Amino acid sequence: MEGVQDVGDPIELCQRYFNQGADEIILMDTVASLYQRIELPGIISELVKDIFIPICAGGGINSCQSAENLFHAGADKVCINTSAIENPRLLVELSKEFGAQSIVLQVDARYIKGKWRIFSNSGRDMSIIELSSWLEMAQEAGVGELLITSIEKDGTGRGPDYPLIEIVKEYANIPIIYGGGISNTKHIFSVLKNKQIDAISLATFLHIDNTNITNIKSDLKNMGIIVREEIGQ
Amino acid sequence: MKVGIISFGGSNITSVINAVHKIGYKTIELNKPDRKVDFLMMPGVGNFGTAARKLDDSDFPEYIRNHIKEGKPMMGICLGMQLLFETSAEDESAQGLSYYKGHFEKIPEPMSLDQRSPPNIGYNFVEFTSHGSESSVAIDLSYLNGYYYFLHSYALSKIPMGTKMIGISEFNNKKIIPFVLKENTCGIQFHPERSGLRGLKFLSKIINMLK
Repeated sequence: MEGVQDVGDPIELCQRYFNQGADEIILMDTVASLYQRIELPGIISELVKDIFIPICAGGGINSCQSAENLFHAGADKVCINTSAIENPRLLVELSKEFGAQSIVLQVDARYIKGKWRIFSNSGRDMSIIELSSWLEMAQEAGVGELLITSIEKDGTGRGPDYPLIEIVKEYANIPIIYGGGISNTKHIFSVLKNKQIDAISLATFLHIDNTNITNIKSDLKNMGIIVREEIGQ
Repeated sequence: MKVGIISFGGSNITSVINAVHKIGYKTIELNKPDRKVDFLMMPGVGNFGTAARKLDDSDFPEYIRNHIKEGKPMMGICLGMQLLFETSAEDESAQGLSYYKGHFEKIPEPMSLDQRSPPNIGYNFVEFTSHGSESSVAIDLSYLNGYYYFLHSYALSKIPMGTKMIGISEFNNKKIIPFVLKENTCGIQFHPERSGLRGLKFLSKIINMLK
């Protein structure tokens, strides 16, 4: 996840994706944990005035209060990674306070020396925790959804990380969003066709390649995948 | 017309307020029941027991019952729908407002690999239809059939008495009822304020129909 580029104003981009028929927006302050800052609530409260799809927000959440700030600004779900690794109790507290359905665990994983490892701080720091035990612990703690990213594939466009999807599916009994390596509709189809994964998250494919979500959905529909179509589109 | 939006402890009402503004109505946030409104909305997320007890500790139950008794429109969204009913398996010791008779059950776990794991997070197809003997006065909502955003673990599966319109959906092959309309009060399990342009159109239609 190094080599991060500035791709534009988040509010403008979100508006464009909403107009194109995106099903959900995931908004991450990718360096929030590193610099211990929180600027997201301000962005979200602007965003939700004109965007009427679910917003999942994350980055730097380290307490119920910091999650509350995002919910109050208009986020529907919050996404946690670094602070959960540092303090797994936080997941239990968040789930109790806001309900499992609004707590998303972000899992950045990579296969290293024969083991699936999870990473914090946007893929910078490897933790000693193994993926399978982390997934089991998280579900026990009351996490409602998983946002899985393949560190190896992220930003490469070289296709989804199928071994990662396999292992996550084996250990997870909650909805899964997968992201990383996707650069064409066939990649998306290959992950969604067996209903293994509930949703796909796209970043580079949209921001850099300038792909239109309306076109992606219409291609997927032709391939036999059920997609949500906006009224009047 | 002003839409009063009930806000009691913790419920996130920002997105509902924004959606109501977008479709052209003014809103008043009601932290306590201190003024009368033309149209009442009760959004909500979280645990049924916690919310039912918070509601019970407030002065809202009587206010809501009087509002409904006067024949004025009322809308419960998500947990707000559940609170219009009697009970939920999420917390059997808690009691809702009991405007509708009925009980919310946990949505079913997957029976096979291609089925989904609860909670129900995401878009599900909803079909709207009239119900019961009052269907002659019902309005056709079928043009609004489509995908709506859900975020819940408990659902209604039996149609309550006196209902004239319903929405039907399913989760892991089990039929659920995510929309009920009786007299001038409706309950919506999904989030129209989070279901794109279709959601806004639905919300606008229902408000127009009831006001």
